[in-house]
Amino acid sequence: MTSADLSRAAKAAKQFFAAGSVEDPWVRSHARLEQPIEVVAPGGSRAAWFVPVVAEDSLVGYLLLDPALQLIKWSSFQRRPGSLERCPKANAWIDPERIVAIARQAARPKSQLAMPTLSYDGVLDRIAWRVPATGADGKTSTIFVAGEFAYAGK
Amino acid sequence: MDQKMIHLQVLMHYYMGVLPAAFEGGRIGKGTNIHDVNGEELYARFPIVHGKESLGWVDVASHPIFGAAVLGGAAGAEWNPEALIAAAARAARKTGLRKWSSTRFVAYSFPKLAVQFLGAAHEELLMLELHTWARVPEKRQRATDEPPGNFERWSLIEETPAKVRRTNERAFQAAIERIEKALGRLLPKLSAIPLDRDRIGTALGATLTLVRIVSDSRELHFSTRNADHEPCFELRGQETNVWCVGASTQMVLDFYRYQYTQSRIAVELGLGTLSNPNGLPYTRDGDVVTALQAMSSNALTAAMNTTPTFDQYRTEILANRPLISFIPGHSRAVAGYTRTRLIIGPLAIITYRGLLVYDPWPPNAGVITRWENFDTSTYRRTFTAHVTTI
Repeated sequence: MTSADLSRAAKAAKQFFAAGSVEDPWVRSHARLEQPIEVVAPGGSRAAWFVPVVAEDSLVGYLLLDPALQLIKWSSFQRRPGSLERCPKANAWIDPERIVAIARQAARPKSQLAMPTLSYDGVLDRIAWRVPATGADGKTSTIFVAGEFAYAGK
Repeated sequence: MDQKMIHLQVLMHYYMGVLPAAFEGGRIGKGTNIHDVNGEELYARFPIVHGKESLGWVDVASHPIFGAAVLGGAAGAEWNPEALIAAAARAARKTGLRKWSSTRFVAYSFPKLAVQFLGAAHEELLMLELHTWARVPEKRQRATDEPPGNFERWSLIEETPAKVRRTNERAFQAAIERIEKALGRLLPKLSAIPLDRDRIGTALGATLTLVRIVSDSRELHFSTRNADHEPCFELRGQETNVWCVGASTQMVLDFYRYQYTQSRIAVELGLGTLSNPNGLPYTRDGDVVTALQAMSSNALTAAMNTTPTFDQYRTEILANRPLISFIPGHSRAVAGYTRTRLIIGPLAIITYRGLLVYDPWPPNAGVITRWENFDTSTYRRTFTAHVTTI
């Protein structure tokens, strides 16, 4: 991933945001777009771009763009327009340190956890961070982290 | 569709606001054919350019399987097929392939693309996924109803159920005929202008007075009365990483005021426990029908549809009934629809169709997707339920 890729994705997301892909006017006036995060397929290829939409310290939702920067969807955590109730904390989705801390809940004791990669479990609709784990016995595994929820990959 | 008709379709979709506003002032470049796995032309990708600047691209259906002419547009992206073929050729040589007769783009798992290398007899020598240049595996024999895996080639044309194919083919032909009838006489004038809203409006001339953009949307209300409160539907996150079916079932049962925990629904569907969960195998899709009926003491009559159509979603939402929607590898609930039509005189010539999806992923949270483009998504099953009345 180059910085040019990143800025192209950011530009495309900004255009979708401005063009009304996010219908809630409250979100358009109160929320901001964070830096796009590359979604990497298990095989290592780029599967999509995840663009967090954040208000205060909450993740309101996200734009998902395909590798060609076409909008796949706008998905919102909001239960009601104009409300942040039950929206997850943004850092659970965008801060690698916090994601590793959440992954630890599902890791075996004394496991070493490596840097997370935003990916998905099975299909792109099941977006999640993939955290490589190495147990004390040297065995490697994958922990998936989706928000505050962590589980061991099969 | 000929070149002028393609131009007209793109122009009118842009005028209607379905394509990115960033295309303003752009012109439509030379298209690249994208083929189905079975070899048929599926759609063409046209770059949108403004001088030397690339504004993005637009995909236009060549095959009636889509039911719509314009599939979508991407802003801020560049489509450079020559550069992609050159990169694919470099990757092919690394695999040991030295000679080939031709190459073409293939939607090996729509909408995922690959470059196919063909021999003199038009036989496949190699297929590499676009950008990753990973070798696309050969077609696999799958059990009836088994959905394709994540990195697998499958034919959109062959795997679309016959009933859906017929419906889409009729809709596609009708869309072409309607735009021809409404705007055919303006084709010479319209085919020369760029994506410029003012100039399109001027070119439409007197026809403009007949142009209307009509939106038809509905979300679940408390009842079929539109004055009742909405949205009357609640999102439930799946409580384990594999209980998307359980959470989708819970959302529908909750709507009818049957309040069960996901653990209890999991028992009914055979999804294990919170500490040892499992997903619903595709061979047991029908269990959802049984669970919806059993858990409402047969007050709900449920049904499974293996050929989901937009009309079915719309009919159910208009009757104020949520649906469960299975896509490959996942399950969600649907609680609304939108349909935007560009109408000229008495003819609806362009339609955008979307669904309001209550997605139980991520676990314990879920998201609401507004709107999921119906014409570019793959739907496996729908489950409907209605209250059994006297």
